[in-house]
Amino acid sequence: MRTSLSPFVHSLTPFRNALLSLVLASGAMSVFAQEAKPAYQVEEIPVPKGIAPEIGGLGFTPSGKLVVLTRRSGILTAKPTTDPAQMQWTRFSDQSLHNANGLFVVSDREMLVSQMPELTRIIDLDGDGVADEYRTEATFNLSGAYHEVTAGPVPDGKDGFFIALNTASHSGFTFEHTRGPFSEVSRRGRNFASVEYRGWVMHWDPKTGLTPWAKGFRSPNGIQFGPDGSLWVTDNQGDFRTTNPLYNVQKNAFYGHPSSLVWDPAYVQNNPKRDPLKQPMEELDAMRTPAAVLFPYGFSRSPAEPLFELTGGKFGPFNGQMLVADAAAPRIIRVMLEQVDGAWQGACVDFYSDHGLRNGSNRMVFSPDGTELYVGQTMREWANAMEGLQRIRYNGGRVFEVLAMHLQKDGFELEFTQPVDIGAADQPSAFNTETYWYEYSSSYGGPESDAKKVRPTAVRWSADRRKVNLTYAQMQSQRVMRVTLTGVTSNAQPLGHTMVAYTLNHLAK
Amino acid sequence: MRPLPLLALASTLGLAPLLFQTAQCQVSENATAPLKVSIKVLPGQVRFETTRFDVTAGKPVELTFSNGCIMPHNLVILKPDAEPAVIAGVNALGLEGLEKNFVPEVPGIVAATKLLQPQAKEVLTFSAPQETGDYPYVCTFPGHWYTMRGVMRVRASGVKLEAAQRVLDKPAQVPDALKHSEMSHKPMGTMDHPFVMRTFALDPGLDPAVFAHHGVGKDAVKYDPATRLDITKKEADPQTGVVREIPIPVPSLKGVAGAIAVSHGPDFSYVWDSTECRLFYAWRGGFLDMNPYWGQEPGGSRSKVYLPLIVGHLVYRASGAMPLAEPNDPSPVFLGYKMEGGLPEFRYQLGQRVIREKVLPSAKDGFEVRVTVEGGATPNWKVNAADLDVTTVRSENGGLAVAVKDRPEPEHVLPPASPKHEKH
Repeated sequence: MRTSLSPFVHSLTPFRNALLSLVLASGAMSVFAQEAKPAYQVEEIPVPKGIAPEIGGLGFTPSGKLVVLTRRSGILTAKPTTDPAQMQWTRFSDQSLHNANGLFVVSDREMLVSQMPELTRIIDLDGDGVADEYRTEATFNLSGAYHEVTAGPVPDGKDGFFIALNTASHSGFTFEHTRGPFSEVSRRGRNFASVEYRGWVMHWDPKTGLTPWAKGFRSPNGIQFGPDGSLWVTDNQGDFRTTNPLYNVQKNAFYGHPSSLVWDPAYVQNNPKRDPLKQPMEELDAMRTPAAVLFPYGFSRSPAEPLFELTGGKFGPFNGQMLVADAAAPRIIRVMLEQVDGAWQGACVDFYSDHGLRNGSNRMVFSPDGTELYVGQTMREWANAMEGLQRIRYNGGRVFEVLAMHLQKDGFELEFTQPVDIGAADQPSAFNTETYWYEYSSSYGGPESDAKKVRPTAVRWSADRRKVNLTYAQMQSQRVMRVTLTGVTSNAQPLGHTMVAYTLNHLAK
Repeated sequence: MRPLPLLALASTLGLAPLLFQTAQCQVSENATAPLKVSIKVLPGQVRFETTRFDVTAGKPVELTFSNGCIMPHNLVILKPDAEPAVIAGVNALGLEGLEKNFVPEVPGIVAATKLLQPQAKEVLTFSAPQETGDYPYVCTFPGHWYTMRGVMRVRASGVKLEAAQRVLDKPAQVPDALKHSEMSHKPMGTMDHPFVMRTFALDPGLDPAVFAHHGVGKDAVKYDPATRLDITKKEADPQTGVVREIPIPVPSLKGVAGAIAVSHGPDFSYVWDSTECRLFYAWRGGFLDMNPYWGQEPGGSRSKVYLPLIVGHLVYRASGAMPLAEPNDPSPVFLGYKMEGGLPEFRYQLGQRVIREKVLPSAKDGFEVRVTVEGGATPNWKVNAADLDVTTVRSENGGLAVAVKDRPEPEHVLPPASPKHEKH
């Protein structure tokens, strides 16, 4: 604790001593006259009348135009303006695509789009700003359910792309004539894969075409390829999904939702009628690759697109971290990943919640200068309509958040974006922790099980007050540890988001 | 209550001392009973729990301020534009600030509590200012100010006071932008500028032979994810009366999964299927009513059927085998389409042949389908005995022009029965 105090302060409690000295020493007085302005601000972006603002994809062209893929009102482009109401919109395509839900901008004249039946290359051949060709690059099978949507294409760093294919939902129907061969075995289920490659992540490139990559997905509405070459997919809570997961996807691996297994030749090679829904849960559990991050249901109700923040500081202090849109809450989550024992795992925390953000965020893209995050929303068809387009602007202001969470042998190291005040944050009570697990279950969603409340046994701050080591009496694998930070302040300002949850698949060695 | 803010209040608002005393009197009449307001501190968050409360101009207020935090805090109510002056005053206090509760002796302070220790409480009694407006309140402990703030709204006498707003109250939801989008669920193109739409479409009871390259979807049964078993219901056998547990069927629907629906205005529309790579049906009298699929306009959520309705009457429906297919051809491969002369020209592969196909719209009697084979070969259109609507096939510019005549009896398509849909 700091000591250099003026005489009269000595009559105060030690805690207040420390606090006051910190305030005075850090020059808080001088910032007093500044306007208290939030570091991130949300702006609404109106689109022209007659367009359903249900955003299935966002991108920027090389010339700096924003591209907005709508689920049923075609493709719009506009050069961003300071006043979002002044954006001059052009219709790159006025055709209604079928639930278009993934966009990769190739050039100002060419977009690669996924829609329910296919991957389509949409090209403006004559350069008049309007698309003339809709070239089918790959077709996707459909049983006829509204739920069989896509995510991606995301580029694989070479010439190819990854695309995720959702399963069908029992809330929809199956057509008498399906696109692709029909599996009666895999038509059973809450969410099902009665046609080929539903519930799979696919790879497509011009030379080899569409090939299956990984299986076991339920409703993978978010896919992203990381700067280090890692592939990430978010999935949605439901059957075989006790909570919402983030997966690091490896080729050929199985991610726990069994319906897709019938389309794996190795799975059915000895028995074409092999039914994964009849396989014991223990066996399915042993086959599956666990999630890198299990989002607490209170954090994420329906994760959508993950996006790496690679703005190099233009969007605040989180360069290299992953943001995840949430389609069922007014929230964007931030994920802090690390490799432990050769596998990815990590923690999640709110990046932005409420304060003008609409519910239903589905797709995101950074502006070319990195200072704005464009967020497209849609949740119509399975929930109340929450559609629209917004952007979050970073104004360069001070951000006070948890910057990183690293697993240690005996606990965690938490890093903050600002030095933390001496006082409450030095007590274990500032880091109340719940530990629990999610059972793998065929049921639709499920509770946090075996929950226990613990506190760190020791709290050790670094000299610069930016890092704290929390020591726990016991560290267990296959647990989520959710820390609620209380009374953690910097310059007497509260922490922006106070709940951080770490998915502990592997212990630190 | 501290004397200083009261004096400040009286002087800055120009209130007569008499009025003040009146306000302080405990009168039994309701009209003069003080309005009770309670403001807490959110522990550890440097925020007031209450961020807005309303009072009536000139009426007495009894404000209870409780500091449940681990830090010391005060609550200072300011005149609408007094913030900068008061900040400057706090700054000027320097190290004397603590002694003076961080409340400077400057004009612009309506009322102020002492600097409360953790867990302390103070009741502040004062008269609401006579002048209506938004009066900010802050904690003037250095730095707390950014986040510890709220507003006291002074309303004119007779104006209804709104309930206090608290931080923990659910934040206002940002409204859905679809509602005011004026998005039509009955889209329409024109003869010259067709509206092209990828969608699920109705199968109006087409000849099953046209679905040659589709899978055969079967009815299913309801399933319980918790048990991984089918859900059953009790039903008495109509003959024997014996009650049995039977599965609950989920019927399959007549739909086209890979449809491309094209509207040339109310007089001509068609569905071309991207799975079979052929024209499936054409109709006149309207296009599609998307409400059953897209939800009720403007932005309804999920519907029951997920299939649009056909508006109008069918004038052509495909039947039989694909007329361009040879016996050993593999499944057709759809390659996409180009907008050529304002019309979509579909492109697909049949074996080694790449075929281009266009549907020429016409407002009455019939229409034409034009097909060409890339590379110049002549397409071989086999007139199907079942395909009575195709009248003539003639060579045209190296390809074929297939004339289709409207069916003599226009056929209305009934909407699909809405299958019973039980939610879990």
